Amino acid sequence: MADIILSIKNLKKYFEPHQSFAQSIVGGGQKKLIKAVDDISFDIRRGEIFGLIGESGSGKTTTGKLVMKLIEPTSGQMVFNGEDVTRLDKEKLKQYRRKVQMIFQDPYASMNPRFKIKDVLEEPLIIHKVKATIEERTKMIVKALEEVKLTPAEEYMGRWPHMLSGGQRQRVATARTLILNPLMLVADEPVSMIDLSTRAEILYMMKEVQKELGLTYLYITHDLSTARYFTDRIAVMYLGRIVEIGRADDIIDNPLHPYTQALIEAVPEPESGKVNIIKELPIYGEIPSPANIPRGCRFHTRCPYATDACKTEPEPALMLDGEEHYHACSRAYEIKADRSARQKTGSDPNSP
Amino acid sequence: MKSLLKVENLQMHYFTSKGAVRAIDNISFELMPGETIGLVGESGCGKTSLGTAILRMPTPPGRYVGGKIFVDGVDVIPMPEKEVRKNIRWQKISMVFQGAMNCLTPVYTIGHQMMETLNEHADMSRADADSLIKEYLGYVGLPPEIMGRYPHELSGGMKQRAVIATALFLKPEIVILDEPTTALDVIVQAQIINLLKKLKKQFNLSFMFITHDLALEAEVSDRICVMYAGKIVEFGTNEQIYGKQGPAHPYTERLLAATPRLFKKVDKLHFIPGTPPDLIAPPKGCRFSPRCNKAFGRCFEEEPSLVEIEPGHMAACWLHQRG
Repeated sequence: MADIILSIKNLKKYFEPHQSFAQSIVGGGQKKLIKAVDDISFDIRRGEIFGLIGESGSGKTTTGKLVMKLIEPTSGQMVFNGEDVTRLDKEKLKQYRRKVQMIFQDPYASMNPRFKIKDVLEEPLIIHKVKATIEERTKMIVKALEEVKLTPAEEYMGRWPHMLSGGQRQRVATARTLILNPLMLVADEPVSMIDLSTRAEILYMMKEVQKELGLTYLYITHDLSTARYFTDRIAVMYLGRIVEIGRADDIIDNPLHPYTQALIEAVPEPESGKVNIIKELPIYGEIPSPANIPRGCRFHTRCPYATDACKTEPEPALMLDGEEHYHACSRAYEIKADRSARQKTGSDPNSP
Repeated sequence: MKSLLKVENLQMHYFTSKGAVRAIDNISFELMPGETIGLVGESGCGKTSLGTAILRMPTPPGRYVGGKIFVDGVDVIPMPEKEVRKNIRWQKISMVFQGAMNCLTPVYTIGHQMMETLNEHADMSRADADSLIKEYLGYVGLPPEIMGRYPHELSGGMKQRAVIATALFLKPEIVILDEPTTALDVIVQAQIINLLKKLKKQFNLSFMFITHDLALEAEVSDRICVMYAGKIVEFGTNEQIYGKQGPAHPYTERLLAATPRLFKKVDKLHFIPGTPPDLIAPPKGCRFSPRCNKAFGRCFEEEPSLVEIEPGHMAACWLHQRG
């Protein structure tokens, strides 16, 4: 049995839409709840990198906020390190946040421009009232900077954020989380604003730190290709629900849910000979609003394989395939057989 | 075949208080009818500056310092602004700006904003303009009701489609697309790319496709122009850059290695250490030499020029030049 650090059970987050004053008096029209996260369950193992993948509107960022406890869940349960953390009082919350830290998307906005790097790194120590002498604090700051390979650390400590590149800032952001010796890091699109030539450098650094310190990461992204490099396991979200979950290699080499298949086929590959080809995407239209989730399987409105049963029958739950690969498509095997038959006869427009 | 657009030794600098930033430094190329040229490079390499410079609207404090831009054989740089507006901009060359979906004004309807473009560049009755807008919305797969909607009511993909329609309805020959899909999700990105390919055929367009994403560029561009620090470092066909043989310039090679691949499992992630140079005082010799893993003595002393290394394939690197 794997050692589980974070266990999420039937977690839901519904937002109430904004109502105008007049509407609230007359009570006109029924309120449609925005189901941003709609009953998800997953476990994150100690020491793994867990990827949460989805389009905008899939609920991946809301899930990250729930894990960080920046927002309260509507219902469901979260167990972290053996302790129920679904509802926490102020003191407990502070302790939780010390163990679970976050790296934000925008390294240009996540740092106070009036703080020197030393101050940026010292702030968590002050907030969490870490008892240490000035020498001990400096030692901790130097160690954190060395962990993210910003050396010589003494030189970086005296710099201002504007003197650093995006990649260096994201290193500082990582160092800032490490200074409190967390168990888990939540990283929401940590490289999407960084130049492509340095993106890999940051992911590589984060992975080295993770291995060295035995950390656990929740990596939230829309980018499947970095997820394959970076993560051990992947959960694919669609409209607030997890539709497929498994080892990163299994998800990408053998996707079972038609939504995952569409996501994968949409990713461009740097190879020649594709300029005049119009890609046939096995998906229709755009993601519906989470205030209006389709009945039946929530993907049926965009699924090219949907049957009447998909529209009327209750939504399929996650089903196990193989060792630890789960999917939520009742027709997964028919679709797979159909796809491989098409690929064999060469009628698949994506095969050269 | 005659080229649609010919850029000759173009130089455009940004004149800042700290000195002149050499954003476009001696760039020459030709765009052929029906062709897509891809412009790739890191942020700050000058690819967007080149796009706006071609449209004869360099962003202040940018000014042309030298060179010529021929559209249909006429140099547009000395042309009066009035004439550019009447005959060139949007009539011959239009542009889909970076983050276009966010540059729609939130307080006006889509129809109003599209109408504004028509009023600015064409003499047309309101009824004609109205039907023209509806026609073009149809081409990009949007219903005519969109005209009455405000930007916040539309998804990113729908806004981008509206912006593409706006770029097309004065029948330009060349469309400059500056990161047209960067803010979009991968599925919407693929849908927009399909749409652009369809429109290109339908209207016989030529594209300049600007992106930092080498993988995306491989799917759209016939020829690829790789820029680094305001200069072209490599220019070749899609096959020459992405084919088996691989690119010629170490910069292109390393950018390609840093591009994550979905179907190739690699143990180690590659990246290019360091940052692009300061364009106020670029380094001596080859501008990429401080970050290049193949640089040798000469690279730090003398700047290589862009020379043909095989038919249709140019590179600015001493590794490919003798003597």
